[in-house]
Amino acid sequence: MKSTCLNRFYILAVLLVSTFVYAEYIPPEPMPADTLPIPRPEEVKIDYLHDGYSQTFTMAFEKLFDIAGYIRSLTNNPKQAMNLNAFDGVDNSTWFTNRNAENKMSIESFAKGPDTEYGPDTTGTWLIIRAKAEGITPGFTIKDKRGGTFVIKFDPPGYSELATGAEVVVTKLFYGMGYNVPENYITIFDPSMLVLGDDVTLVDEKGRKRKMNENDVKEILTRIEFLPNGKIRALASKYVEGRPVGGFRYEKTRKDDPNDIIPHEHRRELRGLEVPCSWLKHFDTKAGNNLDTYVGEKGKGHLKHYLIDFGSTLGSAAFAPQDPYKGHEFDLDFQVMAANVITLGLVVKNWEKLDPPFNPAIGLFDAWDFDPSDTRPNFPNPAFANMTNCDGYWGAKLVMSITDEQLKAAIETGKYSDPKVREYIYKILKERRDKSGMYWYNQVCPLDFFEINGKTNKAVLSFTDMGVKDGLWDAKDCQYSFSIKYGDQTLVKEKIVDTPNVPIYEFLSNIDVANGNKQVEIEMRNKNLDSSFDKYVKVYLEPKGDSFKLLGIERKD
Amino acid sequence: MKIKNLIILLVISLFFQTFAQESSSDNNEKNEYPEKRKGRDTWEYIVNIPGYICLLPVWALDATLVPVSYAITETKVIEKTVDFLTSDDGKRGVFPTYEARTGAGLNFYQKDLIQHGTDLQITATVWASARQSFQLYFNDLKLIGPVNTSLSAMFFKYTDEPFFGIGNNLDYDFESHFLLKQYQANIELGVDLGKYNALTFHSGWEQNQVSEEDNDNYEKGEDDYLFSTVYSRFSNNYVPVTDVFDKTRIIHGELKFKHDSRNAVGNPSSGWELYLNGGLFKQTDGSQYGFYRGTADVTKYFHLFYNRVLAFRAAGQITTSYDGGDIPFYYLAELGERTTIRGYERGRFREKDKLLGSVEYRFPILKRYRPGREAGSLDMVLFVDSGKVAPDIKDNIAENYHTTWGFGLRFYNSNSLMMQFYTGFSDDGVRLYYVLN
Repeated sequence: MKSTCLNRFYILAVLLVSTFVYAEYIPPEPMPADTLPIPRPEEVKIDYLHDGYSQTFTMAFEKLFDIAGYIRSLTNNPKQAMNLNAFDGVDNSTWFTNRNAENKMSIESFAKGPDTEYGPDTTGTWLIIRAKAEGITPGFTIKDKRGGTFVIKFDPPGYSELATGAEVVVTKLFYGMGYNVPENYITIFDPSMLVLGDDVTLVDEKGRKRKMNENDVKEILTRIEFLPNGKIRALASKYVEGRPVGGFRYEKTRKDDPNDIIPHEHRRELRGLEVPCSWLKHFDTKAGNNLDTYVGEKGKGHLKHYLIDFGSTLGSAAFAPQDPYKGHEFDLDFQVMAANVITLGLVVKNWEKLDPPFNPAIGLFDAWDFDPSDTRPNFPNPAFANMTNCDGYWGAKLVMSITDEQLKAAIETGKYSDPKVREYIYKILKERRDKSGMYWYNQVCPLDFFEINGKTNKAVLSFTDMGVKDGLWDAKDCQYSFSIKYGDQTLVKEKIVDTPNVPIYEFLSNIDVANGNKQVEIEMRNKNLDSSFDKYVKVYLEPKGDSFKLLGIERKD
Repeated sequence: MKIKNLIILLVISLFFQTFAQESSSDNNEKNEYPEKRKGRDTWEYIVNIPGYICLLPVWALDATLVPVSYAITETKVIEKTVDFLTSDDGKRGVFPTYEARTGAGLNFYQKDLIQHGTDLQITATVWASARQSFQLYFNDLKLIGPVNTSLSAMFFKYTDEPFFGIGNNLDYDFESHFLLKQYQANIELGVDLGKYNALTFHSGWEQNQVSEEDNDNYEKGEDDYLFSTVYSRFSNNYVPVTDVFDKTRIIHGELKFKHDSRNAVGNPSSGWELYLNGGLFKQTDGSQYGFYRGTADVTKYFHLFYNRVLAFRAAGQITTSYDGGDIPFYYLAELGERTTIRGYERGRFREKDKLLGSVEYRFPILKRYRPGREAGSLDMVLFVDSGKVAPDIKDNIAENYHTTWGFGLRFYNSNSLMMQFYTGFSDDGVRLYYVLN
C-alpha cells in the first residue's frame, strides 16, 4: 500500500517537473471562417439607458467580486485574447481586415477608404424617407436620384465643419486600420432639393411620433447653419451593405449568430480598439454606435460587423465641442469621485487645465493632456476593460502604421475650409499617435515580423523593431538580447546583438537539428533609451527540411 | 455533509457557466458551426462561485431594469412628462421641491404673466405630522415706472417646531415642540441700483398662532417635555409667558438692501452676496408686542484654483424692543438648522441677538461642463459653522460660541442648485439635511 502511494507520488512529481522543464509550444488553432451561412437574425435593439446602467453599475460590481481576476492580477497572468493567430495577430474576418499595418496602403487608396462613389447625387432631388427631429442636431435619411440611401447629418449651429469633418476623417483612419466602416462623404447641397416623401414619420422633441409635414422640414432647417451661398454642408453616410440587425455589444457573443464564437470582450480587434479610439478621442463606444448587417441572401448570408457614427471624435461631441473630461473619466466615475473625496480636490487633473476651443471647426482637441495609459470611454467598456499590454501593443501597431502622408490625406477628405484647421488637426493627431505608440511599444517587447533567412547551416532570425520602423527611436540606441533553447537544452543565454538579426546557425550547427525532432525556442529581448531587456518575446521554430519553419511567437505581457 | 456541499457548489458552478456564456447547443443544432468559446477557464468559474453568489441581487436588479429601461426609452416617458409639465416656450412648468421645515411638494411657475418679466411662483408642500405650507409669489411686476413690485401670500403650518428655551446655554434634554400657524401677506417695492444692487421697501401683515404640538398620535414621551412646561421655565426672563397661545397679528415695514455680484447662481466661485434688512414690527390686535429687527448677512466667494472655492459667511441679527413692547419668542434670533449652524437642530438656541460665521471649502468631485456652460456637477463641501445668541450681542462678543462642522454634497448646474445634502456634527450629535430645488 505504501509503495503504491509512493509510486503515484513519483509519477506525479515527474510529470510536474517535466511540465516545468520542457513544455512544447503548440500554435493556436486557426480561427474558423465566420462566413458560414446562417439564418437571418432578428434586429436587436440596443437600449442606451440600460447599457449605460449595466456598464456603469453591474460591471463595477462584477469587477469587485471577480476573484479570478484578482488571482490573475496578482500572478501577472492576464487573460489573453482568444482569437489570436500564431504571430500574436488576428486573421481577416467579418470583424476586421488586416490592411495598412500589414501591407502599406497607397495614399490614394487610404484617402478613398471604404468609398465606392462620390457621395449622394446633388444634381437631382433628395427624397426624405426618414427624419430625426429630436435632439440638438437633427438629420434626414434621403434617397438620391440614383437610388442611393444616405443618412444626412449636420454640424451643430455655430460649429461649421466640426462634426462632419471629424466623422469623415476618422472614417478613413478606422478603415485604414482595418475596421469595417460606412462610406461617409462631405456633401454640399441646396436645401431646395429636399422633397418630403409620403408617410414619413418623425419623433419630435416631446417624444411624440407623428407624420412629418413641410413645416417640420422648414423647422429643422432653421436649426442648421447655412453657407454664405445659401447651401448646406452636411455629412452623407451611405447605408452599409446588407440588412441591419442591430449593434454588437462589447461582451459575450450574439446568440443568434453561430459564426460568432469568441466572446466579444476577448476579441483582440475589440480589446485593442481602445488604442485607436483614445488616439482619435472616440469615447462614445457604446453598442449603439456599432452595427451588424446580414450580408447575402436570406438563409445564405452571414453577419458583418461595423463601427459607425464617428461624429463624437477629435474635438467634436456631435452637437458641441467635446467635453474636457471626455477620455479622462467615465461619465459617472466612482473611482475618480472617491479619489477626489480622499484628496479633498487638491489634485488638479490635466483636463481641468484645458483651454476653451479656439476654433469652432476644431472643437476641443489637444495632445498635451493625452495620457495613453489612462483613457476612459463614456461608460466602462467590457472589451477595453480586458485589454492587456499585448492588445494595446497590437492596437498601437494599427495606429503607428498610419504615416504622416496618409494622415494628411485622410484630413484632406474632411474638406476643412481653413488650411490652419487642417494643419492643426494633423499636428495634434501626429503627436497623439506618437505618444500612443511610445507608450504601448514600451509595455511589451516590440519585436515583430520574424522570419528565417537562409538554410540551417546559415540560418538567421531577422525581425523588425517596431519602434525603429515607426520612427519612435533610433536603431543606434537599440540592442537585442537573445537566448536559445533546443528542447530543454540551453544553447546560449542572453547574448547581445546590435542589429535585428540573430545568426542562429552559429549555435545550432553542432546539433543534428533535422533529426532532433525538438523545437527551438529563442527568447528575444530589446533595449532602447526607454526600456532595458525587461520584456521578451519567445520565437518558436521547428526543423523543416534543410531550414527552419517559424511556428509562432509568445509575447510576454 | 461536506461532499454534499461540494456537489452543491459544483452544480452552482455549472449553472453559472451555463449562464455566463450562451450554450452552443441551441444554435448549432446541425453541429455544422464551430463551438462557441467560454469567456473564462473552468478554474475561474469555480473560484468565482462566492462572487457569483454575492452578485445574484446585482444581476437580478440588472435583469429587472431591462424591461423598465426599454419601456422608458420606447414610450419616451421622460420627454412626454417634461412636455406635460412645461409649456412649449419654457415659461410655465412644475418641479418638485423639498425642504426639511416645509416638507415636500410642487412648485408651479409662470413667467411673463400680465407683463413681460414677471414671475409667478406657487408652491405647495406637505410632510409628516400634517406639516404644510402654501406660498404664492408674484414678482417683478412693473406698476410704477422702474419700481419692481412683488406680492406674496403664504400660509405655514409648522406642527412640531422644536423649542429648547431662550438663551445660549440650553440643555438638549429640555426638548419640546410647539405648533405655529402663520398667515402672511406682503408687498415689496424695489428699485435696482446698478447691475448688482437693489433697494426694497417691504411691508407685510402676519397672523401667528402658537399652541401645543398638533399631533393626535403624539404621546408625551419621557424624553420630550410639553412646550408650555419648558416655556414657563423662562418666566423670569423678558419673554412673556402669558398669552403665548393667543393669536397675534403683526404688521411690519422693512427696508432691504441687496448686493449680489456672484458670477453664477448655482455654483458661485467669486463675488459677494450681501443682505441688509432693518424694520419695525408692531402688533395690530393689541399693544403687547413691538420691536425693531435688523439683520445682516454677507458671503464672499474666493476662487482658489480650478473651481475650488472658499466661501466665508458672516451674519447677525439684532432685535430690540419698541416702545416697551415685547418680542414674541418665534421672532427672536435662532441658531440651528441648515441656514445657520448645521450641527444643531432648528431653534436650538433663541435670543434677541445672534452672530454667526461660516467657512466652506467647496471642491468638485464630478465636474461635468462644456466650455461656456455647466452641465450638471457634483461638489463636496467641508464646513465649519460657529455662532452664538445673546440678549445683547455686544456683551462678551468673543465668547460662548457654538462651533459645529460637517460635510455635504451639492448637485448643481449653471442656473441653480438642484440638490443638497449636508451632515453636521455637534455635541448634540449628528444632523442630516436634504434640500431639493
